[in-house]
Amino acid sequence: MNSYLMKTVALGLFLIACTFSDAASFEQGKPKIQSIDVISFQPEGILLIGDGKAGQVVLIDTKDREPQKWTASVSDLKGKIAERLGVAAKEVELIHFAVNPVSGKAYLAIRKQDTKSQHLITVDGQGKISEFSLDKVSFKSVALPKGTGGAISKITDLAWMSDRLLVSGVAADEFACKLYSVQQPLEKQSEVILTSAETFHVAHGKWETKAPMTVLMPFEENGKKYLVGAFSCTPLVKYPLEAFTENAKVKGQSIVELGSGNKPIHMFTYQKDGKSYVLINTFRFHHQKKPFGPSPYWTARIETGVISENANINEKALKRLDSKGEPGTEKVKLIPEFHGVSHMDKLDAAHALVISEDDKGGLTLKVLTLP
Amino acid sequence: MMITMMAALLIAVPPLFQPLDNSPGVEVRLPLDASSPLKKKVGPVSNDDGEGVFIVGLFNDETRKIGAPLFGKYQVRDGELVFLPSQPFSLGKTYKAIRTDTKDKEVSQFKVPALKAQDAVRVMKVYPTTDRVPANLLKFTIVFSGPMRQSKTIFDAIELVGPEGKSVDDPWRRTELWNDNDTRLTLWFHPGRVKLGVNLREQLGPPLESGKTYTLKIPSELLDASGNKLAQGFEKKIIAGAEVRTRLDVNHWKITPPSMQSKAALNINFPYVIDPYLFAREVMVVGPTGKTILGKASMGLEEKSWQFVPDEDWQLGEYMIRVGSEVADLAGNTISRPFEVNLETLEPLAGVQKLKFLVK
Repeated sequence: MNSYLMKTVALGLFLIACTFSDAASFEQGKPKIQSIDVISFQPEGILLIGDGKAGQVVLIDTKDREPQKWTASVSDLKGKIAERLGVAAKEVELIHFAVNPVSGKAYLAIRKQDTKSQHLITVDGQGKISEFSLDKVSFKSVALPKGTGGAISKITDLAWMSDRLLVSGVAADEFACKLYSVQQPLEKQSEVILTSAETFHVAHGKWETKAPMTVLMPFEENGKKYLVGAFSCTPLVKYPLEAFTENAKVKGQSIVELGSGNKPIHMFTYQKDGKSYVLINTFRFHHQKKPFGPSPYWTARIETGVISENANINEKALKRLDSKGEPGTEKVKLIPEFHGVSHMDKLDAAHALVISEDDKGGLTLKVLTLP
Repeated sequence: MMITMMAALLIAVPPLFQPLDNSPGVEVRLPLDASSPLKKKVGPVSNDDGEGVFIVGLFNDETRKIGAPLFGKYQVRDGELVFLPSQPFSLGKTYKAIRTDTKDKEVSQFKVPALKAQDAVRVMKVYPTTDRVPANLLKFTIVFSGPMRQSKTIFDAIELVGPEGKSVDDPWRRTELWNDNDTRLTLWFHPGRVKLGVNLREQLGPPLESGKTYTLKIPSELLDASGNKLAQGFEKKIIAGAEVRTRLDVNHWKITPPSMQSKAALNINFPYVIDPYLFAREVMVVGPTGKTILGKASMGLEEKSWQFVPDEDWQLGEYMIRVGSEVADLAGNTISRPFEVNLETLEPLAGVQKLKFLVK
């Protein structure tokens, strides 16, 4: 590392440290977490844990801020984690995945089946697998209000957007999509706006329903902020955040339709060669019937211009496949290099860290170049 | 010299597994040699240093090999190096501790007894309990007698078999929804197959077709929390009727009021099957003074009626049943709105309903 780069990194770390001393209000100890549904990060390396059963988001200061270089790929990831937990590979199930944007370290939420316990595991750039213990950490939690109807039982996704936290949740007994917008500073009693979302059916101009959002992503353009949500079967829908008011029913605009038989898993934006894209991976439950590649896990790259669209929306939304089921647009591309990717997150400006799943359920953690 | 070497070899002991007195955990200890650089330390030592003396791993019965070091922490206490695994050992497994600082790599092992035989978990009930359902049925609720293992594999294991014994392709929404103790699974049909005007339904058709008979098959291969199979599989036949896409109207409910100075049941009969869990959450009885009446509520046969027995006698006066707007039928139509809103004939949403009845 040259001295200029070192100084820059040192200054960055100092500024991050200052941010935290300002943020304060972190408690020391063991957070009470009932379920780890999803994990994500704030840009400063604060881990966000979505805990639907307890109706909360827990923030953990990981203190993991040393940038590292990825030189490893880790095969038989599940087997290796299981070994370290003292059980067979079949006793471990991967729940969710995120990359610490400061350190570049991989964080995995896993379930140890025999004890029904959940654990956070990290993998560093050299492939070293460690347990991230929650026994003594700096943490705080943000309570998500129940609102009308039932409490959420699961958080399906969460993401940080410059000044607020966005969370989507579902309830077990009722068909609903609850969206939360939590304004910073994030505290136990933060101001939380709870809304429910309505989704227009792209294939037909007549009906709309509540629908549970599977994945969400913040999106900004022309000074306006949006939440972009992806649903099963697989529309992407854009919601203006200015419409988020307490107990409002927010109507979104469907902007692109990736096709039926898929469940989205992760999505994020990135730039390449001066153009901006969204990368989204999905599980195709119609893989046996109509595969899009060698694995049920497939990934698409969407030009963000599609998301900016305000005219061709809802029934006029862009469709990846034409009426014959063939690719119908250059703006949405299937990415063969990402076939098999069951989990992914952005590692840096040019790379993604991914977990790919083989046909026997074996997992490999590796770095892929962003397409 | 020879004698000294022999003595050293003789005193090289393997690490010792020590079950803890006041917790289910086990720690592994090894007295440190006088020459050990860790001997002078007290308290936590790094895992690299600890693993330089001994490691503890899972013993694989098939490969006869010891796995990678377990997650845990090392510390020096009273002249001993102690390893504390981060997780309690798993039932039925064998763990080995092996010295890494000696030529002979002395080994000890600890076998955790398997769980004693216990009653296998079984399916207690599947809602709706009726066999007549609308073709746009939205979900099943499966109640187990004990905690189950959460796993995404359930969506492939639980099957819906249609006419001519053919399985319905991918009928389920692949989101695991369990209650707090994992004894109740809410299994939703994929909404994309149930909703009108959604591409999945247009391409594949609905999961249920009116007039046809289906069997929900829950195989015994589902695993309970301990990893054991169910006592037996469970099957439930359903016959699909016409789709229902209208908002629930409480005016169609028949209330039978109880008599005063009694603990007779208040009874409501519904013209359709009600979702019991939403009903339990959304409905309460309020007395003449505005106080919530405490008592025992239960769903009747096939969830087409509801009974409420108060803890204290009914008194003369006007009572009220407060019905929340999320009470739903089997197709997700609620008091508030039909499951799907037709944008061309948009109806106003309905709120909480108040059903009055007189006790005399």
